[in-house]
Amino acid sequence: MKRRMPAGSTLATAVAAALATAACGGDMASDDDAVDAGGSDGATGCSIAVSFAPTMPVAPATIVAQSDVFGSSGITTYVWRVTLRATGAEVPFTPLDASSRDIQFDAPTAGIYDVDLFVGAGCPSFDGAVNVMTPGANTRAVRLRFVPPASITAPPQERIVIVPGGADFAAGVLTLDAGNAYPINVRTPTATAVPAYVRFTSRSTPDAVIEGFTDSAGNTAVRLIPGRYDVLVVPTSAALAPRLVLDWDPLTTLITIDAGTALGGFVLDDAGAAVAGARVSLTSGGVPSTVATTVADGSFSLRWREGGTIEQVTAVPPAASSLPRLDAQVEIGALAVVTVRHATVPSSDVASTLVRVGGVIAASTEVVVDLGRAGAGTIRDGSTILAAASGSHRRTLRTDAAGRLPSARFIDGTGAAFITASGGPGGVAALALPLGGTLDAAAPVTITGRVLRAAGGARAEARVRATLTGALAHAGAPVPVATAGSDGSFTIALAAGGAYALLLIDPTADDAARTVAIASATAQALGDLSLPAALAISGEVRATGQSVGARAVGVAALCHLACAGIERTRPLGDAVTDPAGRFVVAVPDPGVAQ
Amino acid sequence: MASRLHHDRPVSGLVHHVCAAVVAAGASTGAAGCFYGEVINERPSAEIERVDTGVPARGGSLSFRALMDDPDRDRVTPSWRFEACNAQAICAADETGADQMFYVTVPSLVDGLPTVRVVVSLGVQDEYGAIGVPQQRLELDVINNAPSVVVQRRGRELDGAFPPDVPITISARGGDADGDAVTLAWELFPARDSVPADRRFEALPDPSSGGEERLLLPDVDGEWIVRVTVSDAIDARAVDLPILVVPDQPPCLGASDPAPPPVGAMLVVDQPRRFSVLVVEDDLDLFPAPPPGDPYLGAAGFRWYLRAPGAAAFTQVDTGVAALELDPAHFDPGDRVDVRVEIDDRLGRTIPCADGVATCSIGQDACLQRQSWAVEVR
Repeated sequence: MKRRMPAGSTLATAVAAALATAACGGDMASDDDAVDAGGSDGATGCSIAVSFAPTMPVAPATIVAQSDVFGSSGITTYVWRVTLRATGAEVPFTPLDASSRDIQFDAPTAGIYDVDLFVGAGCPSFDGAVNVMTPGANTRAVRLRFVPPASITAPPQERIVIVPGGADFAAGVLTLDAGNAYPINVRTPTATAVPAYVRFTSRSTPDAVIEGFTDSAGNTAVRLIPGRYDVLVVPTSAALAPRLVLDWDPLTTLITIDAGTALGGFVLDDAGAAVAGARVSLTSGGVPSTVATTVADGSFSLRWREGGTIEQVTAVPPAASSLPRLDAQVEIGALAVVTVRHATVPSSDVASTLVRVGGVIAASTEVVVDLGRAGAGTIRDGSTILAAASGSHRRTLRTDAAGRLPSARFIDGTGAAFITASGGPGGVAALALPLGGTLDAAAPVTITGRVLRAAGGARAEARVRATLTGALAHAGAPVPVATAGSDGSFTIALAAGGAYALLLIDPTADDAARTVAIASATAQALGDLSLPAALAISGEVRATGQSVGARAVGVAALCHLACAGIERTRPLGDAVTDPAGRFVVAVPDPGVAQ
Repeated sequence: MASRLHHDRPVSGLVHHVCAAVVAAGASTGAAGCFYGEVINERPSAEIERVDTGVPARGGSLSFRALMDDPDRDRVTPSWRFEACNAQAICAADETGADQMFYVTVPSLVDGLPTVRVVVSLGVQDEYGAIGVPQQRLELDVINNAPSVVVQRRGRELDGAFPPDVPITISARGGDADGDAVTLAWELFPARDSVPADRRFEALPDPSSGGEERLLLPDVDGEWIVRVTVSDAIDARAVDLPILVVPDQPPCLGASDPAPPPVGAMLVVDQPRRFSVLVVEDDLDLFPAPPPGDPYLGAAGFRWYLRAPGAAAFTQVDTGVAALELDPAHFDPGDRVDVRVEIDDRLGRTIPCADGVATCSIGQDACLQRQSWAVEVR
């Protein structure tokens, strides 16, 4: 155990395994063994620090709370109160000295023990907590993402907490780092102002992305937490190449953008004719190029910057064209000119194709077509083929009142179509062009299951929401929903063959949500689906320099490890701070080792 | 002739033999001699000076200083006495003192009744026993400290106003500096159109923290006033708590992620991106949603729209969720896509703005119900 003054840590990334927290002026300690926290009042200059030993108690535990009072202006008397948050029951304690400056109490069960200390003498009270862990508790790293309202001067930011399983967790006082408003100036080497989109990815908390936009003078002011950033700059002008600036210091202010490397060339159809209006772009090392549009002779000129050895080249024909989009991986290297050449591949017009779902004509409905074919084109250096390109179409068509598709020509490839049948979950049909005059999707299938509580027993009125995933996922796809009955059982109709994410939600939030992946929907009984137990992470958010909480701060609990891509942005639980700055967010319980 | 004899007033009990030299002024030859007589020790005198300021009050502190004088310059000792009296002229001597400074606390009660007057007496005596007369006496009227009351309200307050038909809890806690017991009296002045049968104003169990609580369920909008009168049986003080009840207010978009770009700017999306509303502020319908089963509060509604590349109008693509995911793989590089969210509450309001307007407020203020993100796919 150690005594120290209240910490002044801020909301930078840190492993906050500290298990004792306070809600009175001090910040949650950010180092992994610090458990003290303090109550202070900027007006009086008085503060209280309380430290707990052991720092990471495991139930049953005997905990010693030691107090230090700084700057009091009168007679100090020590009045303690210890309660078990889960029950609200007062916990008896034993003074360790005549003045009760230090106390000791038993924590027979795991949970959050709230510890309050009043000392009088014009000093604000200390309101803290100590987390007592369950024996054998598993732990889970959780990112807490804070998005302040416009009234609070602080950028969105994240903090990682290590949550032990088996009991609720108090994260204590979390102070938003106000950061600094850094002036940013984007210019060319000749000092020409560059309007641009600017994305700042923190090297310490890379998920907490900050975005900005420079104006016509190339200026913006972005509020960032001090640190190093990777900065993606995408100029508005097509004459300048986007740039990724690595390990950038915000104090640098100036970001220079030049034209990068020019890549010219032509887009030609299978007959060698120019394709005008095609959009050509590439990415290299994750950095996009400009998007060039071919002119009448099929020529284009884009600006790019080499960021890797292999570039992903994309050529998108104009909307009215029946040509497919071409994608190829190619090493551009020092090439200045390339030709994107469509191959001669058969194509078919789907005009008048009758669309049905389960034999029922799908009239006046949308059909998302997604198909592809390998070898639909090439990327060439003169006559030298650098790489083969795959072709793809993704278009949304609308059937007429008779359920027939309009005229639209596609390459003869394979893929699938999603048919948004009115009022139902829709249908999925495999595609292999040419079509035989009909596009038939199987009738929706029924999936059943029973939602159980983590502790056992049915979860009545659980909400079930099915989201289309995979290649046919698209905004606007039907989202089937169902509500479980009193016995937890549900029935939901899905598009046969569709890939879905079935989200099971406990309306009481007692348990955490669960996602069940369905690769291809068929009529099936999923059986019993137990929801994972949830635990509550609580805390108090404050703006820098404030002794009271910050209201209306959005709080999202996100996975930290074992997740990637957009999964990292899907909250495990979300909350908003109340007028006192407090929040409670439910996350899956990591559990306890058996 | 100089003399050390004091003969302007008698001094009782003291006889001094004094030898004095008498010199004939201007005599060429000096002639000296002694004569004897009784010396007189003069009485000391004193005044009471009140040191503190302000009106003497029950339970308050008073401080006095003795301004003492002795013509003989003898050492003088003060003798203080302090009495407090009630309205029945029953007095009790509470304090005495023998220092130049005299500090007392006015008792709140004398013989069970409030203190209305205090009397401070000061006597002085010099080291030879001479006593100053008359004794100094200072009478001060004592006021009663009026009781105080702190009245607070809590409920679905948004921007200082409350919605109708949702309970408001009003807490009042009285206090009295004199330590008198206080009582609270409650009065309700409802809004003009309120119907007695439709409103509720009833006592709640006294909170453990002290004081009293009332539940107010206003039935109409308007200005309501809850008056709490605190009394200590001597004085009373009334405090009015105005409560503005306004019709159900439109919900307001709070924090969102990502932040919407300024007009004319576009977010670059080169990987799957989640557009989410983190907070909806409203008097009744919130996000994140309140616990299920709340009799008054509900969840905010969401409508998500997308304007596909080249499309003229927005198409509703989802409802009931606070986020929309956009995968650039479903679009082509260079596509311009617009994402939009509109929020709603239980009233099912109409957004009064044209489709082409990126943000919209029913109240034409900072409270937005529509927000848009212009996106460029890369």
